[in-house]
Amino acid sequence: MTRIRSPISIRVWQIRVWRSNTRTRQLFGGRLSGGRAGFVLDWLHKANNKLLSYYFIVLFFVLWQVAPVVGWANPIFIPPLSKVLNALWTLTQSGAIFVDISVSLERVFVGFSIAIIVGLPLGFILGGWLPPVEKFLQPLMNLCAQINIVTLLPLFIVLFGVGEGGKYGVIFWASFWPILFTTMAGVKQVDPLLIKCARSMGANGITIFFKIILPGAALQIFAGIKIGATMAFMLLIGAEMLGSNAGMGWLIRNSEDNWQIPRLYVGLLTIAVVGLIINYFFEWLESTLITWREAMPEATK
Amino acid sequence: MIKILTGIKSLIFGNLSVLLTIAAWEVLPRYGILNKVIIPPFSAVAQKVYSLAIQGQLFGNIAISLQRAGLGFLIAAAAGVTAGFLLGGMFRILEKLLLPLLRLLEKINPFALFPVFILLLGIGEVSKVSMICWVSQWPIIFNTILGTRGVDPLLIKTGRSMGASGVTIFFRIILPSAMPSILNGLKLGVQTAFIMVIYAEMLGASSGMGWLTINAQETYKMTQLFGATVCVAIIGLLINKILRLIEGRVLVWRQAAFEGREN
Repeated sequence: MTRIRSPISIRVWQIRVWRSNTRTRQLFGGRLSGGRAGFVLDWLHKANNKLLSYYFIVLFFVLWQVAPVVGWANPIFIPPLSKVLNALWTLTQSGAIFVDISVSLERVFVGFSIAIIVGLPLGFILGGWLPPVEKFLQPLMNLCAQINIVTLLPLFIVLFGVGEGGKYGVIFWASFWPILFTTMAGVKQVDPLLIKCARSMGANGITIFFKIILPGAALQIFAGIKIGATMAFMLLIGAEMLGSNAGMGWLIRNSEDNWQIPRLYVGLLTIAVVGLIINYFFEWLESTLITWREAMPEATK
Repeated sequence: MIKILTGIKSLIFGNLSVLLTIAAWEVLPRYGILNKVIIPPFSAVAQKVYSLAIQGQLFGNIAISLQRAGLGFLIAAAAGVTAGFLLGGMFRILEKLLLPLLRLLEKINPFALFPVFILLLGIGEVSKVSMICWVSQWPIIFNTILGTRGVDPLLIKTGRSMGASGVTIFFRIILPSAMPSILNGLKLGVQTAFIMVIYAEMLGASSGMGWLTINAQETYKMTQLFGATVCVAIIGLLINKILRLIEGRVLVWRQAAFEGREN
């Protein structure tokens, strides 16, 4: 089906085509006319632009290696990077580091899963079906969410045990509130027109939930899940440092107590890397699950 | 008089769920449904808080904690806002170079860094304050950069074409328009500082609210543990309340934009 264009829209369309042509010429013109030297220069420029953000990170690690060796920093307190990597290699070979990582990840996984299993349905129920109950509980939830999580660490240890229970509890508490609040907010901002529309077309409750409410709230829910995961991982290290017998937080605390400084930095590096991986994992998950975010502006054009 | 009464009424009914929870906390342990040794009833906790306050232990520790958090936060605010303005406004290329490294450093787990700070700076006040400063500076820096970058260039050009000097442009255009973002960063910074001070005191200190809590746990004084936790929670709530008041007072011209964002 051809669309009938009004004179103005034809003019706009012509301008758009003309503009995109100029853009193409600007992009490729320089390189085509510049010859071989121009091409190399262009390539260098582009590479420089891309690498610009990594220069200081590399410099940071180089400095970490050089400063203790040269004597700008005390090598006992800040061992050079090579020494830290050496300690990491020892821990990897003995497999000890994998035990710590897996123990920590298991704790995060359990606590975080409970938070999702409880938080998501509760958010849907309170936000979508029972707004009066939500209004009734609002002050209590606000209060709980604002409580300084770190002070709760000793309390949770006493209430749920020094073993895994206390850690699960803390991780659950840290990630539960962001998930609950964003789910409620997400459900509430689903366009009611869409729901009415679907209902008038004869969709039942389950269809409406899976086809309209869930996709509509998914973006916000994911924001909450990401915050929750970050909080959970952060608090996990805090909890493990206060009292445990395995895990990455324990690795740090134990190294400090036993004055094994390179091992301490190994723990720090491992936590940073695992944290980054978790971060990227959730970003990847979001971009694979929520595919309509990029597509939407295209469709509405 | 009626106004006060309706105020009290709305206060009670608005926070009914909180009051019911407190009532349950009082009743359930008292009648043996929850273990009284592990979860002491609310009245016992309140009594303990009162006796701690009378002994002077409570307010002394609160003051010490707030002092540490405040000092760390002030240093972080001064350094962070300055760095944010420099990176966001004046040296754009430096920002491009430095920002990824800063983001990386920000992502390092703050709790894991504590031993390193203790290692480098000792177990005294310096390491605690600098730790608090380190953690609470990140939101301040990033939000200041964000605010400075978001200033409408047209306004700056207009100011310049009207002959305003650099100082005038900074104080009349850049500062007011970056202010909401900076305040947001400062708010996050205060909250982080208060969280961090408690943890720092738990790891190694002999005073402060964090110490009071962890000491109660280690010696199994349950009422003191609950009392200290409640006190820290209340202080945190008060801090949030004060921050919101300040935000509303300072950002009168942005009132409309901020109304939807109250958490």
